[in-house]
Amino acid sequence: MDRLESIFRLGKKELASLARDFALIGLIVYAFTYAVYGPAKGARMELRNASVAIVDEDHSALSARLSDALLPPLFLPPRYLTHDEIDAAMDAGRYTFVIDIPPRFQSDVLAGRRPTVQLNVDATAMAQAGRGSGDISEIFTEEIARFLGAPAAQAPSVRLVTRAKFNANLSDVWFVGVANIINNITLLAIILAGAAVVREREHGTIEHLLVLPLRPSDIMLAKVWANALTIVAAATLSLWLVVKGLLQVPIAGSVPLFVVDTILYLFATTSLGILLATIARSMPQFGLLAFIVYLVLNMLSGGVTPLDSMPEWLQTLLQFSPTTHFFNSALAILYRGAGLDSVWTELISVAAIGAVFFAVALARFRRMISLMQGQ
Amino acid sequence: MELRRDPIRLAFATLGPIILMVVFGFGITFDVERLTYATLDRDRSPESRAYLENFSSSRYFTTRAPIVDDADLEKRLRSGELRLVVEIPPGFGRDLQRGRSPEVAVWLDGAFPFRAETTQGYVEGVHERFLQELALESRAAPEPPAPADIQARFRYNQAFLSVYAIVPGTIMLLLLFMPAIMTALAVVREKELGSIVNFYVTPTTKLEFLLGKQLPYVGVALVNFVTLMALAVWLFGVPVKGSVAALVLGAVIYVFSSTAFGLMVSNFVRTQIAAIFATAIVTTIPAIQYSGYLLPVSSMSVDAQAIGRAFASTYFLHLSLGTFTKALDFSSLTFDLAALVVITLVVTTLARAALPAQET
Repeated sequence: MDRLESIFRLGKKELASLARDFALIGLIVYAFTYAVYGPAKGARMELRNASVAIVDEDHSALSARLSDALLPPLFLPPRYLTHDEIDAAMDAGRYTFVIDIPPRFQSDVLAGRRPTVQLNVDATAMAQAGRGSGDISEIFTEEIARFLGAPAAQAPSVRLVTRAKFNANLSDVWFVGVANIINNITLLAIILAGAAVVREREHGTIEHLLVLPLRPSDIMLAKVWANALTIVAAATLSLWLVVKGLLQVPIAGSVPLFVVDTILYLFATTSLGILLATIARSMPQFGLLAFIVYLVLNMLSGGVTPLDSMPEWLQTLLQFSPTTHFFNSALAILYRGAGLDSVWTELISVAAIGAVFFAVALARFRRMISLMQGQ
Repeated sequence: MELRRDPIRLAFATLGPIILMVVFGFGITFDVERLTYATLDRDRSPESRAYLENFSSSRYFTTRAPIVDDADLEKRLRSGELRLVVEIPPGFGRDLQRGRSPEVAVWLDGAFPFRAETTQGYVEGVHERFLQELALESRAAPEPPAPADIQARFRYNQAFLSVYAIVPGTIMLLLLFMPAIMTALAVVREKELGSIVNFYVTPTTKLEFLLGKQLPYVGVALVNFVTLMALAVWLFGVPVKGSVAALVLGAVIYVFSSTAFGLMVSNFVRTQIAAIFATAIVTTIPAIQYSGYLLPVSSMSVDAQAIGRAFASTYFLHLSLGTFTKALDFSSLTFDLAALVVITLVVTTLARAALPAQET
């Protein structure tokens, strides 16, 4: 009981020192508000607002119809260029697609001479190039057929109906919002917990703690709970206010289950933060190390590009990352409405990885303290 | 120099970017493949098997155990095991023979929109192929040739592989993050430990102080740049096709701007924790989301574009992509270089202006 009480009291001290750092509080607020909202609204990976330019060397009814067929929200209104401007515009990255309709296009189509429309794709824009070029060809083929008044392509003998479950319109807003909450949880957890340890060591306040009848595990647990609590609260608020409120994302699953998931994940990441703190000797070292680890976890969680596409060795390696499992389960819970029955393996993985981090961190933390006492 | 006395930090600073480059270069990819799928064949006729054959032979799809019923379908999509499910209705083969058009249903996991859209494209491709085979078998009248050709040219990246876009982008990311965070920490550390007082008692000007803090990290960052370039060329096989001079010059200006950015952040925070956190959060979002690394700047919302254009990353990314992949020469990159210089000067001025404000 005494131990629990002192863990609780130490944690409160941790919170108090956090509350005094206004810059840090401001950053936490920013991280869970605009940093979630802005990218979700502004930078989406689905094919939306693709920038198109048209070089119309034909000026016919048909070429005008083709330009009109590229509609928002998939495409921005097309701009018009001359033939000589194509290279400069593409080099500057102003348009992802530049379409060149040759002279006499309409008359060639009508005469059955099969003219060629050239579709220049900026293939460095990976997220849009593939999907967009397919869509443009399809739209043009249909539009030309309609222009010719041909009967709609004869009904194929098998119809294909694709439906997207869980997010019928395939809206990216949903996805990016949650992916950013997860990123910020990871960043905060590693840095807050780890930096708390490094700071005490640099300022020498750990010695004060050691005079008290406390065990290393108590000190660590206090740091874990205090930092985890801050982040869970911030993340849950962000989910309600920003994702559900501002971004209007319907949340299919159970928020309490997501909170449980987040707590397990925070246990893993705060332990990881402390582990990194025991490896680093000073704050600058810790900063670099933590940032490198954070970037790897964040970029490869599956939230930026899907895990399925990565090389097999990397996928295997990423099974040891708590972020991968957390991302999977958070997506499943929030969007697919998955219950405990389908995500329990992910939850256990997160907890198990967390336990390993905690154990290793504790062992190193003990050694660090005994070294300090030896001095 | 302070940095030389800390070999561990130096090691992190030089090895870290190498590790990150390798991991990102292989890991960040838009080439969607190996999608796990399962089938729900309610027909089990030769025709339905022929249809499904097309999926199992595609390199884009990986087969999992067939689905038994609706509940199973729901459960396995829900758990994230499957990316798509192909459902064949009962009587598929019979309907096909009688010339009625049966309906194949494909269920996608929409939780990851980018993947779902790409998957949809692949599914349509597989479906088309089946229809063509069907047309061939039935020796029906061949479809009339299309009235016009639409020829797509994938410029700059004929093979359409992510690595050509991601590797130059990753150089941009790493040359921002590492220098910025190291510089920010160096200054805030002095503040926190109190040794910044030395600066007030010695007769150095503000600019000298800032440059003195900045230069070592500029040096480290340039070493990083050289190793990253070597990795790009030899490990990933992404050659520099355009002007090397522009790339090198751009990188030098860019790391000055990254370190100046670190200095600027250091002026607004008091603790080292806040410095790490501030640099991380303030740099990652513009650099990853708004710079054009993941999607073209021209497709972003107005405010996202405005933020993107205020950061040096956007210009350096264009320069990096331009020289590596787009084979641009020096003259077509002068705008980016000029923009980098302007932003660097602005950021340095801000860092300098903010310096005394904090001291009192």
